Amino acid sequence: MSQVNRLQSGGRIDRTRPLTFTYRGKTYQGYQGDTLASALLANDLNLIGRSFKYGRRRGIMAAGADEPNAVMQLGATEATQVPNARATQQELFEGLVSAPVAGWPSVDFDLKSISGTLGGKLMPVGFYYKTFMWPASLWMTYEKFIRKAAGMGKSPLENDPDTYDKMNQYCDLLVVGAGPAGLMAALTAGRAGKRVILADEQSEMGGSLLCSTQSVGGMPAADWAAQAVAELSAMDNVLLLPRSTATGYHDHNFVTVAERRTEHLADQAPEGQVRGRMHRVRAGQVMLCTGAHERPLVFANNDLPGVMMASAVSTYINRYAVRPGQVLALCTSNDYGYQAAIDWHQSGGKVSVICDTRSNPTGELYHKALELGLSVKTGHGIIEAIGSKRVVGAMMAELLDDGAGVSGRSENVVADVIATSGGFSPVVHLSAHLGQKPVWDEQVLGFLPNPNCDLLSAGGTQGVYELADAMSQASQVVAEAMGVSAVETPEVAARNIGAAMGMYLIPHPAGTSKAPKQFVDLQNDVTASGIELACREGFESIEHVKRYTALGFGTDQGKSSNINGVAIAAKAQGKSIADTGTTMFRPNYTPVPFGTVVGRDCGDLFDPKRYTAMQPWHEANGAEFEDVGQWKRPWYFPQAGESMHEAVNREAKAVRDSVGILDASTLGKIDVQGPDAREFMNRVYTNGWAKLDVGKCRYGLMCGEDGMLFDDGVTACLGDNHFLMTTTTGGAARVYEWLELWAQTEWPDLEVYFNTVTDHWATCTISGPNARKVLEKVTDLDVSNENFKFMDWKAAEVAGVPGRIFRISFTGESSFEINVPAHYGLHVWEALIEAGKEFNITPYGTETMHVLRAEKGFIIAGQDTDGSVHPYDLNMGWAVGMKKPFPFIGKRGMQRQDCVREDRKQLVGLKTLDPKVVLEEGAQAVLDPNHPKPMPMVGHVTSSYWSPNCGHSIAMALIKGGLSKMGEHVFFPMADGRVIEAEICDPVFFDPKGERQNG
Amino acid sequence: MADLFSSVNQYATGDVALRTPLFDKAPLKGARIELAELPIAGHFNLRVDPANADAMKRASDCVGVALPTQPLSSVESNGTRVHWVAPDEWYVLMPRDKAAGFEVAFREAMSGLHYSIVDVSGGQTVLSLSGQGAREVLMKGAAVDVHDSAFPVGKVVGTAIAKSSGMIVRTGDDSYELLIRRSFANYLWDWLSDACQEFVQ
Repeated sequence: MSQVNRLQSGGRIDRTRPLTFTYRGKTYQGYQGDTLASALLANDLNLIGRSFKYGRRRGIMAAGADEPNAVMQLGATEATQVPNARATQQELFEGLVSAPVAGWPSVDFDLKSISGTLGGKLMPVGFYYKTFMWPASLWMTYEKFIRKAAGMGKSPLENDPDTYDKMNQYCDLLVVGAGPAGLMAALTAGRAGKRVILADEQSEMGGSLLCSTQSVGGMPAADWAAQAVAELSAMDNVLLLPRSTATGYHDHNFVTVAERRTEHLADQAPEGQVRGRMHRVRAGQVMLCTGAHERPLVFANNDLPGVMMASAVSTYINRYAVRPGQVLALCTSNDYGYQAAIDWHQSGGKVSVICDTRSNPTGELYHKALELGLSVKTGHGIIEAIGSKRVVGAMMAELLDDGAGVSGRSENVVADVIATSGGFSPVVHLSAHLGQKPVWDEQVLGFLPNPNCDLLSAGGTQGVYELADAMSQASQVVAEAMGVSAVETPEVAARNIGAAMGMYLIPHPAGTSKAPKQFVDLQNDVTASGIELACREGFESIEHVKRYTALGFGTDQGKSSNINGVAIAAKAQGKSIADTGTTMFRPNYTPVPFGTVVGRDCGDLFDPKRYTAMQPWHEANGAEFEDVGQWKRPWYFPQAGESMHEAVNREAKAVRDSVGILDASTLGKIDVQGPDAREFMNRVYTNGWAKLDVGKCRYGLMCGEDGMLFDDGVTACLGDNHFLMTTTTGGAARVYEWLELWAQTEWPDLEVYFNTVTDHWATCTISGPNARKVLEKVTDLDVSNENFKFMDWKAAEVAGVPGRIFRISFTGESSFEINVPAHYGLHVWEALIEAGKEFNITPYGTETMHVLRAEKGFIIAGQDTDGSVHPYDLNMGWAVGMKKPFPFIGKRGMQRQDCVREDRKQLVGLKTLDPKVVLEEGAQAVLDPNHPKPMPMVGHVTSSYWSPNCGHSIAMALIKGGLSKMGEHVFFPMADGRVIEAEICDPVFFDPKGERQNG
Repeated sequence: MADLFSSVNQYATGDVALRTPLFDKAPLKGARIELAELPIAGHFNLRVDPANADAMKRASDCVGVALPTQPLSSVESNGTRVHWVAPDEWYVLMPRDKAAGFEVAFREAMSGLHYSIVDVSGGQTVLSLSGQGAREVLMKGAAVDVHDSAFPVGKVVGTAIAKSSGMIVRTGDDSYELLIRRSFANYLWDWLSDACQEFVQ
């Protein structure tokens, strides 16, 4: 296919590297260096979408991030689909597959266009609010249709095959934008040896220099840019980030910079490469050299394909060697707009007219246009675009001096492209992300960064548009802010630039409400009359106008439309633009792929998986795993064909009948040392520690200041000044922080140190009537009941490994917890398994552990407690030392009036009348199931299991006044209509005298 | 007064299988990156009052090198490396053959003082990350500034690494050691290996 709009020479494309791409299923050619937009325009493809609401034809309007229309669906495969890519920013690559996102059923025939072409009356602003909000129940149906019809791209249905990552960066100066100001800023700081990051959203650094026809430092502007980039890239202290958009400015000069690493190479990233990378930049100073976006002028039918921004026309001609038509009509309110006509003319195109809304332009670009023989109509504006599928002409008319109305008859001229320039809007977005609103400057005719903002800025961002001024300002700003020397500004011929006119909406003889649609926000189909209507309907705040009309809500965030919208609203309300202000700017400046936000923290790497030293054995022996905090704990070990229920029954029986083995390594373990270690225990635990001898262990309860239990565990006295505390698996980090908090802030006088040793010790717990026999086979220690009593610990060698053995029990059986340094853990575990073979030693997981402890009525903090339960509620007053000399944490809390009520929820056991029925955990108890609803609820089930050792179901519950209701019945009405009746009982269901654990 | 504390022997003398958390991982070797788990070593956490010159001297003599008081620094002597962790906290890494008697010796040296020593050898492991890409791999996972000017050889920082944590020690121009917790070792290995991919080819 021929590229009919491609110029024979010039541009920064590589004509020796043609690229083939697909658009709407057809194949076209472009060149290396093209964007998708420039390649489409080169092929004269300028119907690239349908509008959001009215379904009107739309074409490419801009050349950068401000493009409202050219939003594309990319991707050669289902998995690599990218919705809403901006064609003006997507670099062309071989094999790129693209299609319009909008247009349903197709871009050539869009159903919505039926309403869209009939005029604004059918779908005024607020149409959706007014029409589809009633009846409310149908909104979901409407929304589905509206979304489909609006067409905003399609998410991939398969997983993204690419990877993404993040990178933390530091610098003295982050420069955002590598145009003339940005390059000067980076050179100034870079030459002074400062650490500099220069981030630019385009593929090539240089910004406006890349399409400028001016000479800089005696060479073409683009050459000077290339030279500056080369100098910077040779500096070790400078990091250049092309294809990187500073998307958000956050507190303390933290800036997120989204880099597109491989989107320009292929549909999918090369092997080993990430597609996108989020740089998390912490900068000493941040300098905005983001330039300015041209503002289009608003006029009737200004959304026809072929209506473009003046500067975009220059960019396509000078940078991409694409002239997107044959005959140009230009409308401008300032000198800079003339450049598009000059470039068009010099590329061989015809310029039918230049309408300057000013009556007496004086600048040199105006004179240059006259010298070139171009037809200039001063005091004129283009009031309407002519054409149905694309621009075929322009209607112009003489304007009143103030631009507020049309003074003369209208006249038609031929054109296939209409370019407009209404001046520039500085790109101030980042400066406003922290809430400091930009301020209107009447000289610049634009919003500038709020002076209270900590950011530096120069050039277009400050409304300084002349090259020489922008470049020297940038260097001066950096020099002053960083205390370095400014660098010499390269020579740029000074130009005489005349004053611009504040022009936004070109008036139409029919008036705004009757004229053909005058589009302000092309992505969201917001018109000038719509904004005026919103103001008439009473929306005053620009934020309300925005939300009612959807102005600036698109994926372009209104870059080309917001200021025009503000100006039109201001005029409609008789206010100044300064008083009207802008809407809030928020991150991100341009859309960021989710992948880039997530980085590599997804899939298997989403969250850490913590393993014990015995993990290889667990995996080899078929364990199913349960997440406990970040730990992977064996849940149960199913044998061939076993269900979970069967496996747990087998494991639970095996422990009581012979011996089981549990990996208890995950329990939190904290080493406590110091002369005041014992006193510290007294204060953080509810019970007493003064009399715990070396070699002994004690169970303790830990409460918050409110008296509510939050953790429990066994602590062993290792030496007079030395304790080993255990915590719940999930509570380890919290308890450790809790201890440090009290030691550092409340009791700094206590001499005590803490150290987490959870990972250091691997713990094999053997439990059951044959546990001692197993242990005897692997240790020389005398483990007889006489020598090694319940709640003793002893240092000993087990299977050749020195460690500690704790005789403590969470099963109610005779039980030994063997602790060895974790690198020996697997060895000792395997030795115990081997030694236990003759006793059919059975590995068990957390589920069986839960059943066994529930058979004994042992609580699990966090399951049977929920932060509103104190030790007395648990009937564990025996573990509260009210007489301790120093008031322990929670003592006062648990004595509050509310904590001593008799009808508090108290922990009890439950036996269902039908022993086969297992209650649901969380089931709510009532006293009278026939009570009219709502029934008064008296508590809930906290733990519930089938107990294979008792032969019936067992449960624990928190029941109001439960401790004084032994033998009474409660009822559980279930969702399926059943009512389960249960008897309140003691929660110790098995071996109530504790003979087994002591035996 | 060593008997105020318990210092259980934790070093088997016989033929006992000993496994680091990543014992089954082959080192990752690429053109510009290498990632490997180092052999098992002795790891100790020390707490000493820095204001007590006597305590500092006794501790330093026992360790064999002066405990560094410069924040985020480390010193190395005879294969033992001491890392500053906090104003009153140090992390000592030494060859395993030196580690067996260290806790008892330290307790004897510090007798009568308020101090602590904890053997955490089983709970820790060391990853070696080296090559031209090493610094950038760290930048992906750690938020601290690892630029040459901010992170000289010998510097040590305890910080978050991906969603876990560890200590980063710069051991050479392009080489770092990561002192990490055993239970997180597999996660960090997988995470870092993934982050290394672009430097493998």
